This record gives sequence, C-alpha cells and structure tokens, in this order.
Amino acid sequence: MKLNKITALWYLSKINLKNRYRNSFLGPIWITISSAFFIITISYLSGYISKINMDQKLMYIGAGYIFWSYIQYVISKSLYVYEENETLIKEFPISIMFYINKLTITSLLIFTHNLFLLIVLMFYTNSFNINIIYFLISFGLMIIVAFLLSLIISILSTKYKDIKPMVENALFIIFVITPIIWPANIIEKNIIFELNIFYHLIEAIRHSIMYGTLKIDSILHSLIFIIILTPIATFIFQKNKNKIVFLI
Amino acid sequence: MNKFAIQIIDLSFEYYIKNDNSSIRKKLFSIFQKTKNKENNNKVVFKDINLNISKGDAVGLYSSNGSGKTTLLKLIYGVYKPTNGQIKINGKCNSIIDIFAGSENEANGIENIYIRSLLNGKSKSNIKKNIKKIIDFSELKDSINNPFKTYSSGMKLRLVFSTSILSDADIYLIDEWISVGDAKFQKKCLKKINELKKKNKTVIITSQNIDFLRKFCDYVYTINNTKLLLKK
Repeated sequence: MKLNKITALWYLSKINLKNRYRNSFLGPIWITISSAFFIITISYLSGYISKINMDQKLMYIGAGYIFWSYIQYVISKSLYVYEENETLIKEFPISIMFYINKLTITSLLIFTHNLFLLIVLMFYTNSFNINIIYFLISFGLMIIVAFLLSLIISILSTKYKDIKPMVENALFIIFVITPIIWPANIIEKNIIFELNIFYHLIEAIRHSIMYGTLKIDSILHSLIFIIILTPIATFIFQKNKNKIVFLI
Repeated sequence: MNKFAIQIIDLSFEYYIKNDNSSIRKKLFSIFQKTKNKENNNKVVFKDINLNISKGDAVGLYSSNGSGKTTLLKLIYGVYKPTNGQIKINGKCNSIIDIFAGSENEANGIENIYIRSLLNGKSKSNIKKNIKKIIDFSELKDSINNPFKTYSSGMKLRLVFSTSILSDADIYLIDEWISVGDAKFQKKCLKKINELKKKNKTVIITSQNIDFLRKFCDYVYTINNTKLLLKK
C-alpha cells in the first residue's frame, strides 16, 4: 500500500485539533488564554517577590513557559499515542512512526496558538531582539529532541504500564527544577543544570528571542543529547515496531 | 492468463502475548535471578501454510471463532508481520476488517471517508472525485454531516463498506461484515461484490455461514489447528 504520508498526516492532525475543540465556544484560543493567564499570574507574583523589571520578567517567563508547554505536551501525549490511535493501528498497515509524526504535527499546530501569545508579549514588552535564524536552530533542536523522546516513551509506556505515572511525575519535577518560571542566575550552576537537557533547550531558545544570540554551550549540549538519543530511539523502535499492534 | 493475486509461502505466525512477568519490577528482579523469565507467551496461529490465490478468485475462509480468520486477513493486508515465510501481493489491496476501526468518532461522515481513503493510500483529488458516489451508495443522505459517534452499527457499516468497496483496488479483504446491516443493504453489497468478481478483482471473505461462502466463493478454506485446509 502506497500512502501519501504528508497529505494523510496533515489531514489527520487537522481533524485531531478540530475534534479537540468541537462544540467549544472559543476553540483553540483556549490554549492561548490559559497560557496567557499562567504567564501573567506567575510574572506578577514573582515580580512582587524579586522586584525585577516586570517587562523582562514577562518575556523571560513567557518564552520559557510557552516552549516548555510544547515539549511537555509532546511527552505527555506520547504516553497514550498508540492507545488513542488503536483503531487505526489495528486496521491499517502503517508504521507506528506515522503516529509519532502525527503527534509532532498536532503539537506544532497547537504551538502556533501560543506563538501568537509570544508575539503579543514581544510587542507589549517592546522586546524585538529576536534573531530568527538562531531561533529556528534552537527550536529545530527542541523539535528533534521532543520527537526522539516521544518515540522512546511511547513504546516503553505501551510495553510497561509503570512508565506512565513515572513520566507524569517526572514532568512535574522537571518543571520545578528547570529555570522555566524562575531565573537561572539565582542558584549556582551545578550538575543538575549541566545535565538537564530541558534547561539547555529552553535557554537556547530564550537567548535567541530575548538577546538575539546563540547560546553555544546549550546548543552543544542539545546536539550531544541528540547524538546519544538517536541510536537508543532507533534500537527501541526496531525491536518493538511490530509488537505495538499486539500490546494495545 | 492466470496471474497470482496473493501468494502465501511457508507462512508461520505467532500472536505476541506479553507475559505478566515482564513488568519493570519483575524485569529488574530478573537481573539478579539465574533463570530468566520469558518475556512473552506467544500463541502459534499458523504453521507453514501455503496458499495461491489467482486474480479474479473469490475465496472464503470458514472456521470457528478465534481460529485465525481475521488474523490471516490482517497478515495479507500487512497489519501483522509474519513470524516466518512470506506473503506476496500483486496489486492494490483494500480491507474491511473491522467496521468500527479506522474511524474517528468525533469526525463527521465526510471526514471519515477522507481519513479511511487517505490511510488506504488514495490521493485527495481521487477522494474528491469519488465522494458523491460513496455518499450515494451509503444512502446516508444528510446524516453524512453528523459525527460518526451518532451513527448506528448499520450506518457505520454503510459508510465504511461504501468507502472501501468504491475505492479502486485489485484485492478486497472482507471480514464477517455480512451479519451487520439490513437485508436490503446486504443485497446491495453482494451485488457490488459480484460486479467486482466480474471485473477480475480478487475477493477474500470470512464468515461463519458456510452456505453463504459455498454459494458465493470459488474456494472455501477452513483453518484447523494452525493449518489451512481446502473445504470445497
């Protein structure tokens, strides 16, 4: 069977997003509204505590939270991706990779709603230092990492039921220990910072947006992480690609 | 010219059943054990079966529940991969294995036609060209704009069957759909399948109704203890 993958992926991702907000008054705008509420509340709250310039705070937390939301969405959805597509997996001879690609496209479509919020924040805080090339490099690395992690987690969570609560708890811990809503300079850099890939991914993007610079060490960390993760993801995929249909 | 449509050569298939012993906890404990727990408890469904189906043949599969009829269709379609041996397919294949599968409950009828057809390898322009024919054949009329989840089993069958049967394929795999749907629509489906046979299309149907299979098919096979046996 020859599948026009791009057309099928695009159509299914669009339908997924449409179904998610069917019968909703504001539809996907809810994504933007909930992110905006979170960013404004946390920025004002932490602004009172640390007395740092509010505009800078808004931009810092906004950029951090919007991109964290993307990676968190991809990982948390990957836990259930095969279960959600069970009827398709059991009916059509399509590689399980198709469903990870579908998740990536749906996540990017959802992300575009938050991107609008980022543009509003840039205008509100009068911050136009963004370097588009550096931003695309940093965000591209984030997409690759999210893709590889979702491929690994989706397979392992389908195989081992313990993985789901483990990852859900880990995501919360990572959100707390990563400087997403708190400034990275308030604590001394340590091993948790150096090994935390989410810190590097978000820092690289933040630097490209807020200062228009390329954060070389974070880019290098992300590249090394991708180099390590790719063979692991390939091995797990090759070993389990034909088993998933029996496990859901 | 009697060219093959499907060739099954020395096919063996084991259904993967994950053992309860393969939880993370058991897996960690097994590191310290001398005897390793088996990760799976596979069920042998087929062992060294061979089958040659020519173009234009109508083949029936008859056996009791759980013997492997649907599994064989899924193997031919490529949903399952053989453990050993190979399956050669000559032409475009289309399946109606599960009428509830391959559909989005929240999407409406038209969107579901697109989803099913795209996943069956059709292009958007081809679907656009066929969509009126599919809606007319399904007799769903205005209900086509309602969500799939609001359809009755019969309506779901009409939509899925119409989408699959009106797609341009060479081989059609149909699994026990006969029992669903009203008598009038069943008659219409059988007429359509007969038309396909006349057009030299290959049809494989599974059913528990041996009389129906004998009347409709050129050959009827039964699955007995991992083997495929010719019944007629």
